[in-house]
Amino acid sequence: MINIRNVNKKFQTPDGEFDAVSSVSLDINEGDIYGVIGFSGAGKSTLLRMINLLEQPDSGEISVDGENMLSMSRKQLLQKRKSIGMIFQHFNLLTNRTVLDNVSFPLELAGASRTERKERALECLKTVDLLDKVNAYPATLSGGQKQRVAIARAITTQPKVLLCDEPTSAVDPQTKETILDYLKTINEALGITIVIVTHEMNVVNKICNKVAVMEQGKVVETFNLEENKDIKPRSVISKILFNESKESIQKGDVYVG
Amino acid sequence: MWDKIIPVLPEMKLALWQTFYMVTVSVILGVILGTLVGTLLYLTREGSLLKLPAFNLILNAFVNIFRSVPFLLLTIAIIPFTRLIVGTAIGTTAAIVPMTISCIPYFARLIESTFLEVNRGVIEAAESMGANRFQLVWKVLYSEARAGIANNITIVTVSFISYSTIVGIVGGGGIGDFAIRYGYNRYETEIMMITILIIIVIVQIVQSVGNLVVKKLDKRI
Ligand SMILES: Nc1ncnc2c1ncn2[C@@H]1O[C@H](COP(=O)(O)OP(=O)(O)OP(=O)(O)O)[C@@H](O)[C@H]1O
Ligand SMILES: [Mg+2]
Repeated sequence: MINIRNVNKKFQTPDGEFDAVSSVSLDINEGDIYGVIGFSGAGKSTLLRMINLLEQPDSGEISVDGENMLSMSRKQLLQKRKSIGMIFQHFNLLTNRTVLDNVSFPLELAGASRTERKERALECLKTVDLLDKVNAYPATLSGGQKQRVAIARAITTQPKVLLCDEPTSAVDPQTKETILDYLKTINEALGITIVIVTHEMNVVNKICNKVAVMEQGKVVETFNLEENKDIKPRSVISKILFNESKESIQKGDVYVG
Repeated sequence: MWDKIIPVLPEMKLALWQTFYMVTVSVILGVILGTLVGTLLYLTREGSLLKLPAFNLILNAFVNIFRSVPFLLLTIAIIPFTRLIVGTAIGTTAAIVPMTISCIPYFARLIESTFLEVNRGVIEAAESMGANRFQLVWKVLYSEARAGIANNITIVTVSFISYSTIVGIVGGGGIGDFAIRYGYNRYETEIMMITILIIIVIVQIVQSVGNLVVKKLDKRI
């Protein structure tokens, strides 16, 4: 579904060039919930944002659903983005619009009629169980509710892919579980392929079927979590991440997996 | 006191009308054109939606130049331009020209800083939905900034009620000119005081209405 080949991204900084992502290749299949994990500054967000070209790669190839993202005209890209939903750590809802108007916003951009927008938005809000907040403004919602609105908003255009940048990092542990449950639900019920960037192994353990471990702009290892029940991390960073999560499971940490 | 005021009431009414006319027209024109300039300032910045650093530099220089000329000098300096536009450099309509010219860069700066406070993440979210540049500006930037914009309009309106007192110099008339003519030239201190009082009341009303509108538009809290 998503194929990333040898992608590179440098940023110009006051101290010279900085390799945020270097020669990363990943293949994400239809139906996957693909985790990208790593410590802060590893380049996870940059990699994710290159999938829908919010960030332009310097070189490499990216295709989504068989279409080459880098050879498209701007018009085609804008159209293509409607089939790639995205949610963010800080929700990024439109503050001056009600929940309903936020969720119908992508359809408004696409030029759908008022009745069509409303009908579809209500459908999506039902998916995240927020029909009681239709006329509320984002400022009056809890973090978890805001993220559910963001999820509803991201699926209104019936995307094939949902990109998630630390979707549970700004909410409490309990709410995190709920958010992850909703993501799992839309993956299963709507067949949406999900890419989820996180720095927490328990997120990966809970919903991902595959994971890529990133460090200093590179993917150091990828794991298929379904097939190999017994995972043998080789790199130091993967060992740290996997062992941490194992230890916390042994300690009976309720928030893990 | 009333015996002094009643005879000048018709003149005062005319002066108030002139102030209303000058301020309204120049603020409306200044806000529209200032919004255009402010939007371009915001969009052409490094790292914004239309990166045009050279254009941004030039526009910035223009805005700074017009912002730095004191209003009184600007009014006089642009007299030839005013004559070109309205046919005369004297009178209430002519006074609208320097007021508008001065309002545009002022409002542009105010609105630019309001735009800079808009959460980039929200704009980015709309970009991820496939919004085009026009939609990003119209449906996201302006919508997110709307309370700030209303606040900016209130600020310039109050400022230009004050500026309008200066254009008596080009025969603009208005309440300020009225106060100077009676209070300063004819030593009618009471009339001067009453006029100042009226201006204070008008400014209070403008500010209160502005605050109310801002509160109504702002859904962030
Ligand atoms: N626009 C930019 N300009 C300069 N440097 C940038 C820019 N965006 C990201 N970087 C740098 O690139 C590196 C990778 O950033 P990125 O946001 O992808 O990391 P991340 O893995 O998502 O980290 P976090 O967990 O903190 O979100 C960081 O060192 C960051 O400082
Ligand atoms: Mg990040």
